[in-house]
Amino acid sequence: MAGLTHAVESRPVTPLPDSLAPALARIVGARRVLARGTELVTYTSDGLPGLRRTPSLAVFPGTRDELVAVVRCLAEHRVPFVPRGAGTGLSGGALADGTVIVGLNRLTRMLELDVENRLAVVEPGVVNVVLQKAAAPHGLHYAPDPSSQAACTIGGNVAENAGGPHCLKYGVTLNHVVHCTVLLPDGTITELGARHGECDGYDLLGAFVGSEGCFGIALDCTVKLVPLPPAVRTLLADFGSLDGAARAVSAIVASGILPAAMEMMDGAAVRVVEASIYAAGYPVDCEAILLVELDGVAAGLDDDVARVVEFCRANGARDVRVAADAAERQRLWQGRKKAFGAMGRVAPHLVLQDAVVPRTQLPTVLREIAAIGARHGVAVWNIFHAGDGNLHPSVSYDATDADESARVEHCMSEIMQACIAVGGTITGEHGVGLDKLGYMESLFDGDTLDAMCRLRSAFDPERRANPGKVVPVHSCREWHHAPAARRGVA
Amino acid sequence: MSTAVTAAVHAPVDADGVRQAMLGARETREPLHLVGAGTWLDGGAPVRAVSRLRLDALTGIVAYEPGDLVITALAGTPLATLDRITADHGQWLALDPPAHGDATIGATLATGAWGPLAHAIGTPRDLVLGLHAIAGTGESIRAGGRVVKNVAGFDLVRLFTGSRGTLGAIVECTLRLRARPAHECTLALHVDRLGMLPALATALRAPTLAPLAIEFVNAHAARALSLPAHDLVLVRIGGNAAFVRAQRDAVARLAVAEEVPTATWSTLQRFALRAELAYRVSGPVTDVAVAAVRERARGWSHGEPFVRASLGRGTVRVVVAAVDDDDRARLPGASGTRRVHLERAPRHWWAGVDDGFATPLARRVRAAFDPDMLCNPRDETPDTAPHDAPHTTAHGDVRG
Repeated sequence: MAGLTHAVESRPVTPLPDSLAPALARIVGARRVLARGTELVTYTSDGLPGLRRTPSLAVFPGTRDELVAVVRCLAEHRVPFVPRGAGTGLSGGALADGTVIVGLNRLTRMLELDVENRLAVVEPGVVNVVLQKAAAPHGLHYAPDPSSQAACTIGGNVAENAGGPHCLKYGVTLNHVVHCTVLLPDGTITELGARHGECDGYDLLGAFVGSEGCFGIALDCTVKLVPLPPAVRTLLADFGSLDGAARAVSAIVASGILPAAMEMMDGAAVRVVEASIYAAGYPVDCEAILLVELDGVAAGLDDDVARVVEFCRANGARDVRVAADAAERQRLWQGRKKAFGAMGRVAPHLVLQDAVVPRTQLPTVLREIAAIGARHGVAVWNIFHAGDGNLHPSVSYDATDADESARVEHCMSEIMQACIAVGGTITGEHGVGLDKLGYMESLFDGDTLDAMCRLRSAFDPERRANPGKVVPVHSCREWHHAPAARRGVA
Repeated sequence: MSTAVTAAVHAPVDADGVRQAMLGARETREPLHLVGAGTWLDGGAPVRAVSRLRLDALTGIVAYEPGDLVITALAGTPLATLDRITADHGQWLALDPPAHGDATIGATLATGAWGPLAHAIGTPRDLVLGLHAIAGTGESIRAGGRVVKNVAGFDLVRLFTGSRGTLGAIVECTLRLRARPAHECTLALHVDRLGMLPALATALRAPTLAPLAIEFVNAHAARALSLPAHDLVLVRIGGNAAFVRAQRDAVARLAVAEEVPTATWSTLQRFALRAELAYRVSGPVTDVAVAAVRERARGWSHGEPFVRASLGRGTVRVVVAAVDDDDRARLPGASGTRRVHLERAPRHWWAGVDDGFATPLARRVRAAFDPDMLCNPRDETPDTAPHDAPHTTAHGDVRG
């Protein structure tokens, strides 16, 4: 069945040449080359606990020069590799099946903060929240704020074209990166985009952002910083029905008001959060809450807030309250941002999806998700970016229970097909990686998938960078006929 | 011209027709000049092709869901049509590139052209959600989708946007809309001394101000546009009533200000499109005021240039109505963080101009989509003689 991750099998790999590990050790030091199974366990999964692949080696360069030398060494040995940031990804994109993991987490330098031009230049291993903290004293912030921002890296954000709750108004990573110095898999270095001014030619930077580590590795990224808004209003709306909350979202979007963020959680998810250490004071007897944030200049902001409150009430909100101060705002957001952490405490395993549907379809799709869950006897929780229709249907379960596992997998697959059927997409911010490979053919035709393969080949003719991810291997027509000796691995 | 006798003009009415034209070109090895409505035929690097693939017969709205603020249209649909249709629902496709009303959305995406609204809203690459293109290989590529957030697969949407027809023809696109502001106001700030422009530009970028557009217009252009006859900074303000009132007051405190009609922006959009020379100078935002003043002072054989600048984006646009050959030496060159982008010039001025499509990586990308170089191949040895036959638009107007 399409989309089931267990259906993405490991493929047999060519063993790595014996000379490789010593060669890498000469570049980064023996301590920074991991080869033993016990050392590599951490790197067999990323943020998705259910998916595991075992790398043969992991190498951790500490400087830009070491990173360049490592990739050139891998090119010389013609070995496939997988770039990895903090390993917080949710699509299995940083998993290496018998290949080499190139860890970027040691490249943590903030190279430059140009306050006047509102730009920051960072190495790929800089953690998202570290950049936020560096920008804040200057009245600036880096807008893409994924929930994992305390751990995830800018390099990883660029690879996945990460979003976050505030991308509704401010845009995603793609809209904030202006330049990357990219190390191509063959070891050459090229510049994409322009730090200042406009860039002529193809938007190869736009193609690189979101390429999930398959096109090369960013040695540095130049990103736009945005002034912190002068005024912020955070509202919590309490609904007696999920349907009402969904209709309120549609109404707010259709009115043209552009909140900075609009997040929804259903009653079940709220109760899980409130039972945990992340309790935010959400109403435990609700069927849904909407967390709406509006920001900008102060003048006129409260008029927009009043309209949002009206839309909520008109669609069945039992109560709408505005955070009184920064502390309350912080607490309201914590409940949302830590929701998956809270869910992780309920059962050993968690699976979630990342489909996006048109906002007008939200009420229909949420009803459908509930029906599908009921049909399979699976409790599906909804915690998501309602403002842009980016759903995160989530299930807590015990993956060692074969029956439950099967029901969960079928349930999630049907949910995905339901989202595609209303004109949606399979991933809004987590990426395809390995996890959603099985759905790519439901979304794209053969010509388009092959075109994606050819674009990738332009960056990486030998297809050694993160092989087997994003596009199913059998969709790459030339690749299908490539001599076996030159093949990387899946 | 003997070449005009054998020139073919393809004017397909649907994607399949475009595909047939592309496959036909592969068979005959005859390069194609891909054009929209032909309003910008001699803009951009000259193309070495006598046969033309017109896309302006592919017009019409494919899908429009106002509740989603998303619209899907065939590539040959004029921007003016999209404007009208979305206005009926209080929405807009907030793109205002320098363009004649007939200019198509497909050409806007293919050139990546943008205007003053990019300050607040972004450029075409920020607004396009999905597109259908026929590659130079004849393949049908459906990239992206119809939702506002999408990271599925490699980004062919960004690749085709700004590709200037060199990878194939865009036949359909899906775009993100905005609500039209409930209220609007445009102020023209007088720049009494050019020395005050850098400070004014900085003040207009303060976090307490949120204009839709901040555009410098030199006195020469202001006069031609029937605006107050000064060097000006036009500030476009839009939002709810309380917001517009407060912002208007705050901006008006920065300089001598008068209100001008909102229609000024559409007049500006259509201004001086027939000029013989047009180029942009881009660079750091902190430098844009200085760059604008420099371009304003540049002398040309036939008089002053028209100079505009998007002060929030760091780009200066220069338009010179008429030029002689010795004006070529007056063109600014790139320097430090400043880049120059030629838009429109006498054909032979393009010889040796780097348009960014010739890097090794760019060549490999192009070869993957148009291996036979049949789509808008660049004329590397351009001369003064125009090759193309006059182009007739759907309305029967002839455009050169």
